[in-house]
Amino acid sequence: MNNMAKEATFSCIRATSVAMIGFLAILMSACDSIPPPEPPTLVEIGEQLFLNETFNGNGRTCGTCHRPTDNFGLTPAFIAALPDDDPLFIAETNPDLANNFENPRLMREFALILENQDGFGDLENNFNMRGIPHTLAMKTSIDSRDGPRTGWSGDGAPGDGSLRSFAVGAVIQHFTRTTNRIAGVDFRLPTDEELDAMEAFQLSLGRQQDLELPLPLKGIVASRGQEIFLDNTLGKCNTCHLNAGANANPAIFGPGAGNLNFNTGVENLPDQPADLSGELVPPDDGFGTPGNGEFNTPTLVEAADTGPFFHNNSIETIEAAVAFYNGDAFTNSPSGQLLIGATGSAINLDATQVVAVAAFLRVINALENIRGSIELLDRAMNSDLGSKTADNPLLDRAFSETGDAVQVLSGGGLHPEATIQLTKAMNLIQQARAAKKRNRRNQYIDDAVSILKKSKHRLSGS
Amino acid sequence: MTQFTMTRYSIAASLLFCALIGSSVSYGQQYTEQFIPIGQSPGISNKLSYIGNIIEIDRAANTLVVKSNRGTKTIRVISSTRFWLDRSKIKQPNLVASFNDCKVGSRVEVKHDRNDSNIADWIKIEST
Repeated sequence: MNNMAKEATFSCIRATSVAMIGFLAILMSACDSIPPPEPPTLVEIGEQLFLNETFNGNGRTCGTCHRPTDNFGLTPAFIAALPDDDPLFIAETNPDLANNFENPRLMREFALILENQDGFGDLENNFNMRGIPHTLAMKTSIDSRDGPRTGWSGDGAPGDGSLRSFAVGAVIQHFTRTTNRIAGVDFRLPTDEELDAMEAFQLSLGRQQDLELPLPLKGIVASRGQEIFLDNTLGKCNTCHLNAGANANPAIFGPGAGNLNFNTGVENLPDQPADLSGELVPPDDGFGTPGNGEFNTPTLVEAADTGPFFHNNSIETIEAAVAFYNGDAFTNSPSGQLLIGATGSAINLDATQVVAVAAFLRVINALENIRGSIELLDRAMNSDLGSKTADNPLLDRAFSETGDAVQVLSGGGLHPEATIQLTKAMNLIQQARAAKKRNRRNQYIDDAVSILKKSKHRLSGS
Repeated sequence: MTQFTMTRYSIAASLLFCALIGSSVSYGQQYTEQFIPIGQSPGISNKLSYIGNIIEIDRAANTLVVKSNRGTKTIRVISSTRFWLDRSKIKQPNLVASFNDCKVGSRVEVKHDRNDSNIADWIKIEST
């Protein structure tokens, strides 16, 4: 190679080396400026535990019964679509749990779960069958002047009775490998840190505050239903369900009453579905042992899409749940009798009034579904991770929430124009989920949020 | 609503309030507590309970003396006090027990009544 060629070659090598060194310097500088990922929040840790941690038990998690896309509850329709090897059905597949752990027929047909809240001494006869309550809006529905109220009868948690401690009782009752329920063998108990995280997650779900009624509703039937709801001489609903929540009216029950228990006579309903099955369904005496017949007040904003209703899933539709308070079971109950004494009459709504109150409950439920869906979509759009793995569960829940709003409104023949818009929003959410590129996905999400907001304004002026 | 009806409503509502305030004061799921080992009751262990060893029992007076790292405490057993045998360390199911199962030297956890720290709400007796 002559000198000129050698010189050219060395020059080229030098130039390339300088360029590479420069590129590496820029790259290292850029790496230094990329911040490390944020550590997970307590709520995020709690969500992972709630949905995925089995506590060394039978394979169930909290999310086995409290399904995110079934409003953190569980309905017969959802159960019907589950595969037979789902941990929910562990009593059907694990011989150690074949007896006295669940009743598979009542679970599959009525979404009823076996509870031994009155003791574990006689598993064959001493139990109750209860529905799975949702875990939404618990920030608004647990505190009372008598202490925290958890579970259907308000006494669901061991230890200090708090929501935080509830998971310990749930693991013991529902996660055990055998009915011996030996800690360290059949399950492990959650640690303090795990209890903190799961509590934080549960409290983060759904509404964080009560409504302030009356709302400026646009539908005339739902508006009339709201009037009846708030009228202490007619519907009288606001007495125990202040602002359609879970708390008692302080004007009647005293300041700080909070979430109370009542004996409303649900146990005395004739022809309860589970009783018609012929399976052993012992009477449920509610709070305490022996029980006083009282059960805890649930929220009503979340009611219309979380049936069946009451602790034993005995009533299927929101209209029937409203009509319950017209019937003999409630009128003759201790709470019904006290209400008569206090107001001079029983609740006596005619059919159109029952439907109006139900329409009100449907509309406020749909409004909450829309609010919840928008919140989930905003989170999906703004998440730091920006990955489909992280965001798809949010989109799935937003899709379910919006679908619930469609079902709730159309089930009552309400706001057909809004249901058309909400269906469009569902399609956009599906498209967002399927989109391969982030900016396209975010566009679909943005469009869905815009439509949700428009449909909200068809229901309410606020 | 007329003035009369409001007054009647208020009186009856107050009666309702009074009726309710006398009920449902206690809370907490009592029976799964049986399966929680000594020292692991959420929100209770070492806050509303004593963990230590029985050093004295007076069955006539229904009292027992527990020595813990917080000192010595005389605890009174009443008719509603619940007892459980904690057999988790020997990997056996926990059992409902009674005052008769308390022995000097037994390691116990005593949860005291919320309003009276001298009364036992429940007692877990370790079985080894």
